[in-house]
Amino acid sequence: MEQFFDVTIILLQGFWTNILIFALTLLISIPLGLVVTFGSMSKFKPLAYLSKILVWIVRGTPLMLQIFIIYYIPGFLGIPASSQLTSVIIAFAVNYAFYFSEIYRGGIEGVPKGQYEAGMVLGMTKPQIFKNIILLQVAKKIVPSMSNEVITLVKDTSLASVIGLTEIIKSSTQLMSSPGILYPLFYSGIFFLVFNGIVTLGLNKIEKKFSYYN
Amino acid sequence: MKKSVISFVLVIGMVFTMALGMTGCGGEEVSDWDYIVEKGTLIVGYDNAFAPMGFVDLETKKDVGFDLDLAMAVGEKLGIEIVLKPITWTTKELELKSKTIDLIWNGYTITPERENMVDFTIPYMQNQQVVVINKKNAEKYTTFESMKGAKTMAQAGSTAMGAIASNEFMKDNDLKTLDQNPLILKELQFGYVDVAVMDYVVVNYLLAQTENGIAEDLMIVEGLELASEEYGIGARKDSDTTEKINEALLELKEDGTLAEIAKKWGLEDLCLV
Repeated sequence: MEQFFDVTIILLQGFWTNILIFALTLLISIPLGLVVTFGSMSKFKPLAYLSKILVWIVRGTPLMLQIFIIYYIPGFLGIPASSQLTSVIIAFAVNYAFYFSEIYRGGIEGVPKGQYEAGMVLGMTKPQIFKNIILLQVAKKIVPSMSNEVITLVKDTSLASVIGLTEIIKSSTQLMSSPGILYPLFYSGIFFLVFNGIVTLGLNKIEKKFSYYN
Repeated sequence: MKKSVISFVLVIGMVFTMALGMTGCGGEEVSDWDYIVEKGTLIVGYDNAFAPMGFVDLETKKDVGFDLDLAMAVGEKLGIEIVLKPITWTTKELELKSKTIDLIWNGYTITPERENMVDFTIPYMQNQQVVVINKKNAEKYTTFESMKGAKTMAQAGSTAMGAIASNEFMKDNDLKTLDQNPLILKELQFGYVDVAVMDYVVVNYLLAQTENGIAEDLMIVEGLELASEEYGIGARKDSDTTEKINEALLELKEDGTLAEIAKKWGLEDLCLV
């Protein structure tokens, strides 16, 4: 029983890293995604193409590989990455920003043209139209797709172990090494389930909040 | 809109120039030890799931182990701050090369292939590859000859794989690899595989633990000589850091600290320095 308590503490320490990656990734990637969307929807063609190529590269390669690249390449260029956590968060934030950007783009393109025209008739400028009319409708539309990605993100955080960051899966392999017990690996699943349960409740609340214009 | 476009282009441009600038300044000649001293920290990369060399302690929830104690003692001798950094064992040489760590220090076996990639210190510990089997098969697997055709397992990226490849009877066996030694032992226990080749240091430790339920089912096959090997500490190629570490190791032997640490982890018979 005492051992179970110790195991729980060690797994919790590991899971804290997962939570940190999760929170910081969302914090960075949600606004960063919008920047990418503006890029790929830009009327300035070279920028639009560049954004689309970047979307292709980031979505087309495994996140695990991107973590390796972001962590190891700087070292070959002469400035070694100082922190595994920072590298992981950069990789995650960029990866998710590009996924989010496509969700945003779908949402923005889904708003009927008439909405823009109505704004113009009222004498609003383009940024005003975007801020006051379009954005809220987009936000409402994309919540279900975003929720899906957010829940995937919770589980993806375990990928951080590939460069040796001690997140919960790594913590449980540590416990396999000494005292050589296996159950923490399966037990770690409970942590993800509970956390995702909380996240799902939060997402449901957000979805309800956005149930305007119904 | 226009402004954000321009700034976006500028940011992209900056990133590219930065990347180019970084490639430009890799050529200066600073010795590895000077680089470490200037940085102020010696970063030791270790696998934190490798008992008894480096692993998590249930009570203190901190990483402990023979190699970590030894690294701290060496740091004290050299007067440099040691930073212990858990890494993934499969990419250890990449870590070293990309300077995210300065030393590989965790039951790191000296092999000719590895000597091409890293500089080793003097060997500090003796290790042997041993064959582990399920006690059920104690009668069946007594010699290498009897293990011909058996389902075999070893840790991915470990020297055990080389030991198997150079054994005339086992080299053609169906070989499966995993990252985690304890999982390999579980597969043996479950009967998924027949024999496993592993570091004596590791198996000996795991079989001495009672809580994991593997000790009563598994055994080391006695009298089978597989390559005997030595642990060293790995530094970057052509590094002068190895000399410093060697000096410190010899000093630690002189003043008895090394023996004390080895005794703490039950490894006193295996010390080489």
